[in-house]
Amino acid sequence: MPYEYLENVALSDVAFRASGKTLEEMLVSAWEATLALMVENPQNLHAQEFRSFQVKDTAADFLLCKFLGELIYFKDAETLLLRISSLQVQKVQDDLIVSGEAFGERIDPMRHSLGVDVKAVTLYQLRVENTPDGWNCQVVLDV
Amino acid sequence: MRVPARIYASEKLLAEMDSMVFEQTANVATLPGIVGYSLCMPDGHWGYGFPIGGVAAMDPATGVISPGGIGFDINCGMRLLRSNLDHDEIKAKLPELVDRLFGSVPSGVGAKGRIRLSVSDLQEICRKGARWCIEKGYGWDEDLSTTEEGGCIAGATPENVSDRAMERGQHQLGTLGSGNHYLEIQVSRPENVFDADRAKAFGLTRPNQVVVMFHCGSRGFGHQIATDYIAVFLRAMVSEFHITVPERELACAPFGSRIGQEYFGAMKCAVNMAFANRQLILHHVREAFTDVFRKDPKELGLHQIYDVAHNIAKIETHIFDGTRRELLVHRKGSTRAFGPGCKELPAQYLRTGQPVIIGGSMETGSYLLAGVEDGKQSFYSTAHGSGRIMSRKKARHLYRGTELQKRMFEHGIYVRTASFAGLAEEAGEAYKNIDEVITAASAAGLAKPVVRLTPIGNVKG
Repeated sequence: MPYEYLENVALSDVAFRASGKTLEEMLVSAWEATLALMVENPQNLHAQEFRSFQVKDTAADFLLCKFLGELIYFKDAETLLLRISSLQVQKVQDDLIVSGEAFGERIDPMRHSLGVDVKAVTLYQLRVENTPDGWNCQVVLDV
Repeated sequence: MRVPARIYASEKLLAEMDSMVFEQTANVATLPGIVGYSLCMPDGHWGYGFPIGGVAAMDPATGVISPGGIGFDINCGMRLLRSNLDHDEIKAKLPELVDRLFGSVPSGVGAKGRIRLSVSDLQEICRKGARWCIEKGYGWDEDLSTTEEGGCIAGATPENVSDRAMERGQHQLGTLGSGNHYLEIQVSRPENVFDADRAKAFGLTRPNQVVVMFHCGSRGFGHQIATDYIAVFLRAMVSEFHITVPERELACAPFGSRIGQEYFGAMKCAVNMAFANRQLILHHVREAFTDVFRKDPKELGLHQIYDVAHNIAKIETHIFDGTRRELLVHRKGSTRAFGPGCKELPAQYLRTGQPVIIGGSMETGSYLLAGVEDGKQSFYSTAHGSGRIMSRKKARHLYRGTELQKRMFEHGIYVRTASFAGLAEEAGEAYKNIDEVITAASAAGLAKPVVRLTPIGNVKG
């Protein structure tokens, strides 16, 4: 499993660690960890709606924040639950730019077994690490 | 530390507090312009920057404003409504009433409000708060007089709110949210009335009187404003203001600076949106009661007792060191509790002190208290809830939502939820003992218990 929820980091909210061989894989794992809090069996979300997104920052941890924030935004502004279909990270001068495509469905309480509403990505103990074994991150979400 | 830190707690509560409470209360004491003490209330627990339960008053001229001292959920707060019904009168119809409320008040992930709003409507709500709802027929004039700030804090500046925040908030007016947000039907049992005089002044005059309490805030709108300005402050703190803080979540800016005032104006937009949110929910509650009992809400006595914020920063006048001073008071998971005679209170509460609404777990009950004169020691601030002692992951592992629902029904509480996983996370065992928090707050002179309210019905997101 590319992510795990942490028990002792955040009592009022939810903390997780996610990993991947590449930064792209780690970002996708982090999104899957976030999505799985909001809906059971997210792998069953159908491709009914499609969205593109792009975020950038000079620091990997803030980039992660903004990336997860994009998909939280779609959830609130358009009531969409989205999975990532493609993602790439480019370095342009000092900026790390994440571009991606996502697919999913409008939230339907009759069909979706819903969990808790993720409202923000906090900076608390937020970290992104590039190690010889791959990329790791730790995130605390405000729910 | 620029000032001492002070934590209000019994020995037991202190022993149970996580270590971050102490570290964060001390960190807050390093903020520029802080006055008096860095405070933490008896329900204190770990937060972002400030502990939850944290209170800090700043000199507006020399001090900073910090989004961490308000919280992501700006104007998360409580509203309490009374009725002229007693438990026996609603018992037979309780499941129907809770079902109706569950259908009337959208809750959970992706819930959309029942009122269609444009962005310009939301901008108007930012400026008018709950008054917007009253103008549209979603409430009564008297609701405003029993809401903190009259349901609208002056000086909101929608132009300082991002398009993203507007888009997140546009469809969420009149929604409950999820997590620890809830709408509860409760009763005031005679053996749980501690101050009969104040209970009567708050409109609780019958044994087993039915009340409705709900807990929610500014939804994605407030969260986005907080997120936006934490990022702005982090950049400016170093480059413009040369302020350093012990942790990033204490990001701040001088209150008098351009960005400090921009955040304050945007924060007020979220404050007003939350007041409007709870006003619209109140309207939906009245509609549900009318539908079930086939009586007009005024016939049912559905009058608001009070609405109070517990995540906010406000300019208030306090006597400090013998001098009357205007201070910027941050309350993060802390409820304002003005004592008797405070001129900000509506006339009917000048003698009693302000109603203070403190929520416990969904299984144990909540409290209505009154502000007291001694509350001036904490800038008239007190606790806001009972605080978690168990992680959400552990609670989901230990409890099944469907079994918890059954257990609560066996204990006389009928629950409807948008998420059984979410319900499991809110099991009573996940929270501190509310009675201990209230006892500590009372013993410290922060507020006076008036009545303990027993839950009988619950709507959770």
